[in-house]
Amino acid sequence: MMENPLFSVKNISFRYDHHTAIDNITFTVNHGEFIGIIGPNGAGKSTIIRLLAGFMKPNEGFIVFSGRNLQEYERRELAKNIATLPQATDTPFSFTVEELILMGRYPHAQKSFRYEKKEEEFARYVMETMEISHLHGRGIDTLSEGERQKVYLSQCLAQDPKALLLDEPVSHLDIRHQIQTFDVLEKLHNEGMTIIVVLHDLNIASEFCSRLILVSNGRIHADGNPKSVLTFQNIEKVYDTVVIVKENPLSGKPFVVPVSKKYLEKKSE
Amino acid sequence: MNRKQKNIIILAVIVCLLIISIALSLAYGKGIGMVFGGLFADEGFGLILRKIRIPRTIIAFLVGGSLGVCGVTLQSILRNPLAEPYTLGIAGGASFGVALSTLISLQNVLGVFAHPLFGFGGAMLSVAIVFALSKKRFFDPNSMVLFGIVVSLVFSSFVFFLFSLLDPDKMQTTLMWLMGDLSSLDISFVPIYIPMFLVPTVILFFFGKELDILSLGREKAQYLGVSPPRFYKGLFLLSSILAGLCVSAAGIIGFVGLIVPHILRNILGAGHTVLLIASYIGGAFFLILSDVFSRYLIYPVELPVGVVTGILGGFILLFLLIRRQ
Repeated sequence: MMENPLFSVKNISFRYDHHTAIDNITFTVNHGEFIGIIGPNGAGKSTIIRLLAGFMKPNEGFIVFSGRNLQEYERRELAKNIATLPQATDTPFSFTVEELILMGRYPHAQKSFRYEKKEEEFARYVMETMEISHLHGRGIDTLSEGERQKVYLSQCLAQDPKALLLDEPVSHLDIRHQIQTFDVLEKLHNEGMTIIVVLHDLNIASEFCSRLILVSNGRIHADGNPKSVLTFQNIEKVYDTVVIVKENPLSGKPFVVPVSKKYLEKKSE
Repeated sequence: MNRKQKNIIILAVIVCLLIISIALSLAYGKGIGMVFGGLFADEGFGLILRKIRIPRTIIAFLVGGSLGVCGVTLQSILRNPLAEPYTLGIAGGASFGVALSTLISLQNVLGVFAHPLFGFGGAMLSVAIVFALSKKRFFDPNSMVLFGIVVSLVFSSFVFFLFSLLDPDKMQTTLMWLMGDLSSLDISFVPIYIPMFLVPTVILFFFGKELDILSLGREKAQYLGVSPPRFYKGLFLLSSILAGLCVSAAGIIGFVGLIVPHILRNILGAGHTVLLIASYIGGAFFLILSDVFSRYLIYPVELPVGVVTGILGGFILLFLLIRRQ
């Protein structure tokens, strides 16, 4: 029996004023996929995430989530199903880690003055699995960039979602925290979570994602497994940059090295 | 000692401070004994207590507390710890209303109701303008602040224009009012004001969780299940009505809505459910205490209470900012 796709995106377009950001895109996302959305700056990657998350409505076309049009979902109901981590999440106030993670329970909690015991227990459970229990009373402003990202990721997990959407979650992190973050995502993926992540780092995308969608000028240029998408032809066309694509000896996945202009000039001499 | 217990102790301390300030406001120069005796006496201090000190303390309580709650609400929505209850242009609009009522001598027709009515009307007018302008921007907080500043500036210019037409005697009372004044409100307002102030405040108390989430920004708030346009509109409206009421009752009293949440956030943490209640009690304490100062600092001359909160609050804020560096 064919299972219904989690997301079904049909012919969507989106315009900011007069600039077309998304131009007639169609794709489906199945349960448990780990999808990386890659492409140059301004290609429309973040817009795709925001449309899937229901933050903006497409001007044309429609998005079906779990068999129902995304627009039909009430905000809280959607937040129980989809957790989204936008590019820069921040607050001017010094909330504790525990308070921030409890906010993730908002869509599940009763409309009351405080969060109930069972929500607090869930938050504690999330902190344990994310190994940040020791930080629970710390102010978010006292944490390092890497710890902070972990907290906001935990907040998303506290929503207990079916799908996790992330917009460049590791761009500002060092390699240790990048790999840590993606190890966590991979673990979630193995447990059945559907993950869609916008990425700049093609090698991380290749290493961790089971499927890549290469976006260019608001359209899908290529869609498939890393090996089929990360070819030098695709990348050179979309990024307008010469690259060498090799195979990672550990994983057998493609590995992309951009080539600087100075070597190209030498060659042609 | 965990955080909850710590917060309960801190709240208890603020309540004690509030009680002390109320006692000072009622009993200054007489002693607490006289207050209990005076409550039922028909002459002398009893009369002063019932006709002046008690109503004035009640108004200071309502205004101070509401300014604290408004400050917390707007600071969260605008994601700016320096936002004030008057951020949406309320001060300018209210001043304009009052100056206008003075110019056309409405006191002769409306009596004691002229200033409060026109102050509130002016405040609501400026809020209405800001709302109308912000509609196209989906009540985006940043554009609302900008509109608020512009609207307030335009109204302030009109106020100066009206001042140039006023005769100096009348200007004096208007100026007093503009500086924040708890002395001129007629006591017949007190029973009307109590429910008007309390209803929006109590409603706001129930939005602690949403304010927590809204402070993460519009986009993230939506992803967590809080629909920003609806909450922005509702919360802005409630806090504007409250701030408008404050202005109508006591003129423009600065710094209470800024400094009280600032200090309490440092002590209690950022969680809004606790912060809202604490800021209410703290704001009431701060304004009642400032009012006591304003009455007795250079006795028998009475200072406008807005001047006291401005000086007191300004120095405290400066101290806090310098110490942080």
